[in-house]
Amino acid sequence: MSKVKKILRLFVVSICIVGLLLTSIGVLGASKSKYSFKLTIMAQYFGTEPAPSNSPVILKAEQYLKTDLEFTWVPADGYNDKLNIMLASGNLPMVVYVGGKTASIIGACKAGAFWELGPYIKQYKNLKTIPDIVLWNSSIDGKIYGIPRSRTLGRNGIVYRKDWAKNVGITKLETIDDLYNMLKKFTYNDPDKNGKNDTYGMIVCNYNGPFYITLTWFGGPNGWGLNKNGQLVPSFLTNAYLENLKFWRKMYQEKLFNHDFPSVPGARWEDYYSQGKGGVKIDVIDSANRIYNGLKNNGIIPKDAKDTDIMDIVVSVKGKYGLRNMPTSGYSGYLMVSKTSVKDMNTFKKVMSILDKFGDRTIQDLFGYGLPNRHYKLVDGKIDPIPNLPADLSREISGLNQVLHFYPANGGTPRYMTPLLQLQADMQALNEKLNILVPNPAEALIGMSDTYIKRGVTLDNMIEDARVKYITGQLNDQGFKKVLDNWRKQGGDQIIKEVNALYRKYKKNIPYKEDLYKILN
Amino acid sequence: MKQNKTVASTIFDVFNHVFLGIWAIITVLPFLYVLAASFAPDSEIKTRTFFIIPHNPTLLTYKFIFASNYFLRSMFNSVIITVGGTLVNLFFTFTMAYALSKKHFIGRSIVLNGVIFTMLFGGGMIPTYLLVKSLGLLNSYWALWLPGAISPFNFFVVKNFFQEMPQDLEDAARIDGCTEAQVLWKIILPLSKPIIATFALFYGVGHWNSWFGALLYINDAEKWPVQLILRQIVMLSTTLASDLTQFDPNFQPPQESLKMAIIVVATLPIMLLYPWLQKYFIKGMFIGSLKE
Repeated sequence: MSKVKKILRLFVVSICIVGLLLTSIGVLGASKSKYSFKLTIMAQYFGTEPAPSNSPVILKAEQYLKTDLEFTWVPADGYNDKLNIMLASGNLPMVVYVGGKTASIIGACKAGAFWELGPYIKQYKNLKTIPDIVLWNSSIDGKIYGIPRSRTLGRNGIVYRKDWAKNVGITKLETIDDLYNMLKKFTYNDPDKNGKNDTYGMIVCNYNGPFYITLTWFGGPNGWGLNKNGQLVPSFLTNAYLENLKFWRKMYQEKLFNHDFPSVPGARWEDYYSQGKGGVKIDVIDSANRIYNGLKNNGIIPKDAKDTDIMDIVVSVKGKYGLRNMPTSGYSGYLMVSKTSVKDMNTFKKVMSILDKFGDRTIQDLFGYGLPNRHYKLVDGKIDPIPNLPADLSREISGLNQVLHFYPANGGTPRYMTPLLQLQADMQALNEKLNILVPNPAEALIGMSDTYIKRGVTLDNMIEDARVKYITGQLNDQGFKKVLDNWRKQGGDQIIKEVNALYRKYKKNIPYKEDLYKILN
Repeated sequence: MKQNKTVASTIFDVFNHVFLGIWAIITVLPFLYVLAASFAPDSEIKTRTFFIIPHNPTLLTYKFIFASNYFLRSMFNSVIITVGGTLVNLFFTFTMAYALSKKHFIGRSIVLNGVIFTMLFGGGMIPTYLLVKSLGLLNSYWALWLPGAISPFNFFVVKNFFQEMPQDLEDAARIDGCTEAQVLWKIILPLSKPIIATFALFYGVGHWNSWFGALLYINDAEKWPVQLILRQIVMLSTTLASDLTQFDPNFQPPQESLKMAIIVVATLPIMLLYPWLQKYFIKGMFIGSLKE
């Protein structure tokens, strides 16, 4: 009898205690305040755990900014759900990371949920270094609502195994034919000299990036291009697209890349290279160093092999139309300032000046790399991150680089470079210097097309599906044409119409010349 | 008395054993693989397709997991969420079910219809969030416990169970001087142990496995349950990375073996509960289906 009573009492008491505990933790946590101004930021993070609020790196940054920083970290894969729900509830922190122009974000911007930054951005010493192209690409409805987070425009290129090339007697990689020849030899001439036919020219995964990079080599546009009638059309309606498709189908038939590519997830992509299964990667240039490290860790190459003897990089290969390459959009997500928690102009200016200071060397170093002799070493005045930090230390900086916008570019202390890292940096710079990057004129327009907002995903998937089927031989020319007709009928024509109307409206804002995005083929 | 088996029934038995045996192996194998892979170095997972015994067993990932207090803390959070949440669930489900199992309860059918209504129509994510927010529950575990405190389906099972209890028992207790509450605590609940254990398990597993509530309502990463971290790690190494240009040049997807080890660590505690509750569990399921 009393046993039941005891259990009952324990039951009620424990609920109360747990509740009290939790609420008290909440109250205590909120009452910490050292500076007169508090900035709340919501950002996503990758990896296992975000930086704790008492991380010495954050404390140091608070000291520099004379501001309390309160981060809300959201795991990257649930970020959009959380963002949408917080948008709907009108409960946003002051600064919000926004991953892309989703329909809900565009709607929120139009409804005035965020401050328009355009008129102010040029008043701040770091923010004014954001290139016009990136600002334009990131604009919504012709207006700037967020500070873009910088990515190198010329990040794409061709990365290949230099030691393999030597083994099969290849000395140059300049044209598309050279590349084809290289793929062939990497597949059939036993480039790793193990006596087995176990290598592929290249590895392809379900990510369509490589296909669209090669499309520019054939004179195709980057996403959208200007045709002879002065109309913007999507890339898959061009001759270059078909030519590129045929090129890929030929490579597929000759087994120059893996046949299971539609089912290889992006995250496993690089694994194949670090196991020494593939020789060429048409992708971001900075994968060269990752592949080299992977090869070294897996014991495929000797530990003391020089990195630039193993990997080599070219920015692009020449086709009929000379050297062309696909740039990135130049940014990855934005930092937006919410109107619900930043209500007046004074607070807004304060927030902007703090965001501007995020570009200062001190903050770029802190959030990018942490503290000297704790997270990195200084070698010749350059930052050399300490590898394999213990979990508690690496946690102190985890996620913080997600709130950096990296303007001005190279504003932080330079990183210590191995020869290969240096080569990567040089090639990225060369991409932009050579003036071979094909811009996408519809980058900022497509998100404003109502039909695209409604049907875009379905329509994109239709083309993507047809692309894969064509390459694997399940679809012939007529079949592909049928898909295109379907695409037109189910909203594609409407999208083209809307994008062109927007193009005429915003043409004067586009910061690059027409002939850069002309369709050549 | 043992019946003589016909040839047909022997064949049937053999077939049955083989079939169920194969079935059991098929169900257990993935677990074994995950367990084995969590002890294998990353390079082995990537080169071998399926294995039960790793060639080069290592404790590296487990050392990594237990070296930082982060995983342990998130496990502890999960325990609090599960225990607290299950207690809340049981308290509300059983008290409400008991009251509504009484036919003389005034307004009973209105309340019952109200419960049925919630089974058919839900508010959806955003209104629920707004409710939780305006109740001031954000960032506290009450946000995970209260909105789903009663599962209507479980509630009805418990209510029917109470209804099937012999009325005479309660009458006897009342004649002996029990109040309504005493009847419930002293007579009914002790007799309901199997069904309490069953629903404790149902609710408990639900709380242990859930992550979305924490994602929405808990902003403080220190309070996150282990499932949220597990999901982040598993998702990072599969889908998210498909658009690689999104990532920083220095980003490395999490290791396979780490993923496996965290799956093991996150699943083991709740799996260990089953053997303890199993006897109640089977009884509870049967009792629910008995008719007087």
